[in-house]
Amino acid sequence: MFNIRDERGVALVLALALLAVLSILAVAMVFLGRYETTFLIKERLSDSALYIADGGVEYALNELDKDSDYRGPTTYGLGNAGDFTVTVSTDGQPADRYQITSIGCVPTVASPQETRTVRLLVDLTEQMSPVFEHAIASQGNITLQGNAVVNSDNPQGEGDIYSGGNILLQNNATVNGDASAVGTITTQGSSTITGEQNPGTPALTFPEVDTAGYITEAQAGGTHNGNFVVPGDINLGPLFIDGNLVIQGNHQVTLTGTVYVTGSVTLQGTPEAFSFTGSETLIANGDVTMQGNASAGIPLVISVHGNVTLQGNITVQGSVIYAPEGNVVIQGNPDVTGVIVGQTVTAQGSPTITRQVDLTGYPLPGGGISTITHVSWREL
Amino acid sequence: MRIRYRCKGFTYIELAIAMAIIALIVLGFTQVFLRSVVSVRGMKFQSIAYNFAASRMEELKMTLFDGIGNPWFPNIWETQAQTVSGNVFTRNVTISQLEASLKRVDIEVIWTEEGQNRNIEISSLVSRF
Repeated sequence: MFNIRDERGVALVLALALLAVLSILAVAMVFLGRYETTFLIKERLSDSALYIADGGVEYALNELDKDSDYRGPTTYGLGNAGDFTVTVSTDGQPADRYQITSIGCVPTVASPQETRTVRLLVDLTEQMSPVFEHAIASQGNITLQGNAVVNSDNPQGEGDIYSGGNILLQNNATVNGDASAVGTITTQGSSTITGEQNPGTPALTFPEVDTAGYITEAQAGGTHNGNFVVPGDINLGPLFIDGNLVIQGNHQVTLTGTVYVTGSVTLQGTPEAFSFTGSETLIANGDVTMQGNASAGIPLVISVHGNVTLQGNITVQGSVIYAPEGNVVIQGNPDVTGVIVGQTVTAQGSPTITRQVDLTGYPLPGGGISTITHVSWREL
Repeated sequence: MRIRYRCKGFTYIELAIAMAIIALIVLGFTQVFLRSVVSVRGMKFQSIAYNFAASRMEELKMTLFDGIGNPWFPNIWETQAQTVSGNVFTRNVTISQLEASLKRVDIEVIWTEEGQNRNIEISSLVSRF
């Protein structure tokens, strides 16, 4: 017989069980909602960090355009959005290949909530203004007289010269290479041009000198007011000299940074010999004069508004001499290996001018990245 | 044979206490649910805003460098609005020329939620290279 007494209290048990199940479901839904919210916040911050990291790659490309030796690390803030830290490496890479690694951090690199890291491999090819692809280049006339010889180092026979005006060779002047001029090309006496003669050639554009950039580099090492006379053997630069720079006597000067001179530069070695070397740039607003029995080997010597004079038995090794508004005069027996570019260029006596064909790494005006090829992009 | 049962039932006090307890539980859950609903809706708006900003950032990264912004003047370059789920999202793009070949891009999206102004912002750099 069915005894209803046995079912007393079942309703309470069922009600409590149902309530428990519903409570569990409700709590689960609340936690799921919170998890979704937290997940979305993290995802949004993470995506922001990716854009920050990508900005770091762009920053590095811009720095490499200015200086292919740029390696970082650089930490840069984009306001409230976040920070990135970017580094560049060429270790283990083929020639001209750069590995850019950028870490994007949100909200700050000091206390990141989310980070993303991207790596870009690019091939960069540096361009060089075509005016530096000559032994001698001038916006005006080129005059070679006496026993002046123009050649190239490796390979020889590429001592090309270019003139935005006319070229005149007299006496025994010799050009072992091509001669190109917007105007005319004239050879007189026993003078010789071994390569092609190209009169009426199209004019080249001579690059501007970024004086503001050089001034900033020089001022990073301090400012010297008044004339600076080198007292003895010295490491010089970076330094901004508000005056003239004078080297006299038998001193060894090594450029360790950009030296900017507001006046003129005079290097006199007679009768002793000075040595002027380094891997940096010497730039002057006024004239640059080198004379005597001495040697100079500075990658880039610029006279922004003045003339450049090389006299005596001076030896110049591996230098690009650039005087876009002035005359370059070479007298006596200078032995110059490098490139000479001026408003006009005149060589007299028995100078030897040897074009340095390979100017890789030289901080030339008008240089920069010419081509960029993205090899790969990936997130680490 | 007739069996007599004791059908006493719940007292009013017992019912009142039970209902009060249930009401408290339901009220608590309702609060949590409402907060959760508001939070989820807020995240939905944030996602819409973020996608609105990100789509423009992607477009700008594919645009030629010289076609982005007004050189040297940091200002709002363009403003655009879109309405989603009855809410108006306004997107402001600011371009700052940091160097000759480097620009900064800031994209901010603003909308109104529960009577309060909300915004999200993403930033990046673009170069000529």
